[in-house]
Amino acid sequence: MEEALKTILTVENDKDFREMLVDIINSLGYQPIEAKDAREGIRILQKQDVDLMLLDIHMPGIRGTDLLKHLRSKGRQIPVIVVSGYLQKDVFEEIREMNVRAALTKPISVKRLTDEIQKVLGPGATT
Amino acid sequence: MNQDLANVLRTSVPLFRGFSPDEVEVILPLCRIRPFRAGEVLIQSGSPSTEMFLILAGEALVRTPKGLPLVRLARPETVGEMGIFTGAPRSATVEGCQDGTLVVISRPDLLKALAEDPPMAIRMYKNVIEILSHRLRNENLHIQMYRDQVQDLEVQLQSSPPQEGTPDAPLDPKGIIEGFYRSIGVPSVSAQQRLRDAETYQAMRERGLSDEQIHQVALWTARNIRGIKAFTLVKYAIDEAIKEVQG
Repeated sequence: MEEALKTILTVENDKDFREMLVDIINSLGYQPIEAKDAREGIRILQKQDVDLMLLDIHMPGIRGTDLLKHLRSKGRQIPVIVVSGYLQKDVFEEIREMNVRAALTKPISVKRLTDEIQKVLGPGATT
Repeated sequence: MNQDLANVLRTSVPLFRGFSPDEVEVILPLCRIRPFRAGEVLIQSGSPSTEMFLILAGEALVRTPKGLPLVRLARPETVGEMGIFTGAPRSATVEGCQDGTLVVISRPDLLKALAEDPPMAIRMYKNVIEILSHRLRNENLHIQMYRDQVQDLEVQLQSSPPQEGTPDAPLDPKGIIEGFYRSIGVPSVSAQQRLRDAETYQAMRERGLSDEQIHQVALWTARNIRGIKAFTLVKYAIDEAIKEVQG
């Protein structure tokens, strides 16, 4: 039996951007999991562990920072890379205290994103 | 295993694209997991379409009814899903070419689940239409690619004497994509990935890029994106690549 692929949960409300992240994750040899908002992200994380989360901050309903706070309050130290449209200084300070591996603003650099993902997970599986 | 399978179904199997976690929960009990051996015939050409398969591990080979190899299938590719809906007999033979594991979903089980959940049925039939239209579009694209190649060859034969020393000028879709995979050291890709690659190429042409520009972006991506394994990513690196290439 093959070893399970490393999983990356993408929590992003913008469908096109989320699909781009999923394509990138597939292209690097990881298993993508999609959540269209923070609520769905929380539901997925209640059922399973993931190896990394790509998290948008500004989403309708629950914000990315609140999801992150919830996660850390439960002692879940899943590595997180924030991918957001813009980050005010106070938000940046807030997420920095919650052990975020990197914070990228849109439009993202694909090279930077793929480097940051691989810093956390190492190389993906050969497909 | 169930959670892993649920993820594969939702994110990698076009038939279940857009399914909610609750809808995938309905599908999971229909999935039977079974091993297969190298050389074992999984589908016989001409037989009734009673099941669809999802490959989880190992590889299978699709052959024409005359036995000619067509494509290799690997995780997470599916086979036989259209027969479930059309009821048409199998058009090809599929056999294991490596020991592996697959998921089997039977036609009666799936059709019964769809009959009991009309919104899920609508989503699945919408996916079927999308899959078929994608296939048609890709078939047209492949036909166009072959026509272009034939035209190029005709022009070359008519107008120019053979030239030597130009091995690095792969300016046709197949050449660009194969050159990309050569440069990242990936010797072969699955049939599903080949279709995605053709779509990626088409999307880049629709953005107005010439073959030469696509070739340059693909080269830049292969050299600069660490760990890349699929041509699909190239279309997202267009802006960065062009910016850097132009200095």
